[in-house]
Amino acid sequence: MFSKILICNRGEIALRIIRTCRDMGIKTVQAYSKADADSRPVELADEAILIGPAPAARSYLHIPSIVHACRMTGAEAVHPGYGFLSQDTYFAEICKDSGITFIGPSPSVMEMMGDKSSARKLMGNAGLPVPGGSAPLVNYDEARAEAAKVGYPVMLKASAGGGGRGMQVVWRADELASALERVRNTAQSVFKDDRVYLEKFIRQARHVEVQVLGDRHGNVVYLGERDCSIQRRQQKLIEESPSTYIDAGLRRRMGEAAVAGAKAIGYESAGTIEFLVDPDRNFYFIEMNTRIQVEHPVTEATTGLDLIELMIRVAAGEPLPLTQDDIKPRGHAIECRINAEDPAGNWAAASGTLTRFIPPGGPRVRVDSHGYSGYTVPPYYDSLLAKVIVHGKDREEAMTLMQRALYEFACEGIKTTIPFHRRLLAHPAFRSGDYHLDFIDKYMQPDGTLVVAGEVAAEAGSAGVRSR
Amino acid sequence: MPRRRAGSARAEESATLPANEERDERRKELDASAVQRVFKEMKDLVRSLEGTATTRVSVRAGALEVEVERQPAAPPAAGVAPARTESVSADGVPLMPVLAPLVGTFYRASSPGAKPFVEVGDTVEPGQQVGIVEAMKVMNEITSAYRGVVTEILVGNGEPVQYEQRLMLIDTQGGRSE
Repeated sequence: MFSKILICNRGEIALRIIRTCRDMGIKTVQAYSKADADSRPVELADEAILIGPAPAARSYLHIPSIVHACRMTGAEAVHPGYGFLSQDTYFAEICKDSGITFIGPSPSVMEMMGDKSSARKLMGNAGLPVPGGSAPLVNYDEARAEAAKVGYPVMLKASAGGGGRGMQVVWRADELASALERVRNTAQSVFKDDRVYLEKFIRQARHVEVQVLGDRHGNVVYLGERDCSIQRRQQKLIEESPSTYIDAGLRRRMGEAAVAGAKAIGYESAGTIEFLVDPDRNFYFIEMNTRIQVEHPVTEATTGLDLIELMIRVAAGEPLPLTQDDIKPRGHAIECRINAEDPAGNWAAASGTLTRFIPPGGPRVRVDSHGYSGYTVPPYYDSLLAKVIVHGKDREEAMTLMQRALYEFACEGIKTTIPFHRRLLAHPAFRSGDYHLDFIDKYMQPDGTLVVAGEVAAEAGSAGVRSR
Repeated sequence: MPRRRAGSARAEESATLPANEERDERRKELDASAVQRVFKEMKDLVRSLEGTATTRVSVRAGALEVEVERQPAAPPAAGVAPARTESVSADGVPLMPVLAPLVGTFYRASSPGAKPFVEVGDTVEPGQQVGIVEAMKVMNEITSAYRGVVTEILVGNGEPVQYEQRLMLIDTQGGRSE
């Protein structure tokens, strides 16, 4: 087992990793940027090393600084969290060459899944259903032919994209040419790779993802699913498990498909297979995230497992300490992502000082947050401030717990999405469990409020709704 | 060139992190309680050395040898205030620091055995190279932003540095007059 792990991430996930390491008796090194000098992870880690100025490109994304920080402090392994370098094949390779264990899958597996078009092909070969679609498109003529074959509406996607970026729904043939150009340009400028492929756009779909966990000895298990269908611009707002949309049979089939896919590529560590489920209850593979995800606490609540601990054990070469039969998710869990954003101000990111920060508590309420009263939220990074997770014996109890938790959560000094989530928990479409990926488009007003029935935005022409 | 480190026995105060494969091999043969005991001894020993000038301590127990290198207590120099961002000379003159622009290893010369770029007492011009910080084989030139006299070199040759760690101090008010 490692005696020291370096965390090259920040905020709530850095704190998350530090906590489990401390529980396991593993020393922690927090690599941080100047903007995070007063953060909780820096305060709580056993050691902290300043690796660069605020901009991520020179700190949390700066591979030489991070590798050198590992050498300087004697860290044997590095946990990349999510975002930043967590899916950077180059970083994973350099760690490998430098004798540092990257806590995650191997560089080659990461690369396979990082190319969304090749991931689709690999998973299709492993027997997972994929939406009708194409390989990377060579030119407009090919795009037109493939789209006609698959049938409109179609989704154009950047091969090197992911996390909801670099995609566009095309409703009609006469929109295809301009959409293709737009997606190519975005793909080139953001991902430096202009390859674009095409997929059938699945309407009224739900985003249901399956958590998998693999070890170095070929064992893979699935740990239940998470329904993340409520998203704004492909960013998830709220997640829950189990999904109200699937029954036990479908749950098992999706879980087994996810395991088959992970085994086919020799997956090691925690990972998530994303599916779309259509109104006929067909499920389709969309992409695989080869990292720990923001919403992992939802699965930890229903399974009682510590996913960060399991990632570390797997990375240290241990076999999985459980079999599929040992995994019996219980109850119902919901997570709200509290962002430092102002829904009424077009969701502009808020930075500033938290004058009052009192998160909720109680036996079935968990809060993962790096916030504290007096903490200054820096403007350089994403706006996730806190995750509130509740676990009830059923969905009704979970919703009650979440409403109570949000009611208690005192957060002043900057705008957050807490008021938005209070409204969301009261919304009939959420409460009934009958919502789809177009929830936000349908019900959200420009001022961040949610309408209830009555005025509903027309479905045609709504922006592509996809997952992160 | 990868270096496998099974975890080394060192106290938090130490600043240098070498690889010692021989030591790593021997450590594998030890049992946990022996290691615990030695660590405890080492911690107590290091604590008792606080304030003294001793820089290196080594404890051996069977196959385990633990070596600690520490910064000696600063001699009580009059007027030198180890403030966070500013330093002041004995006469109260502010000293400007040269900071590491990135994480890496600090070198005082262009290559091993070569003459250091600067020594204490040298006069430097703005833009003059005073050292190198190396990270993953990339040698980053460190230059002085100031004209002045080097009064103190704070990091030894080959030592690791953090971002913005102070490498040396420059007296910009002394030195050559215009």
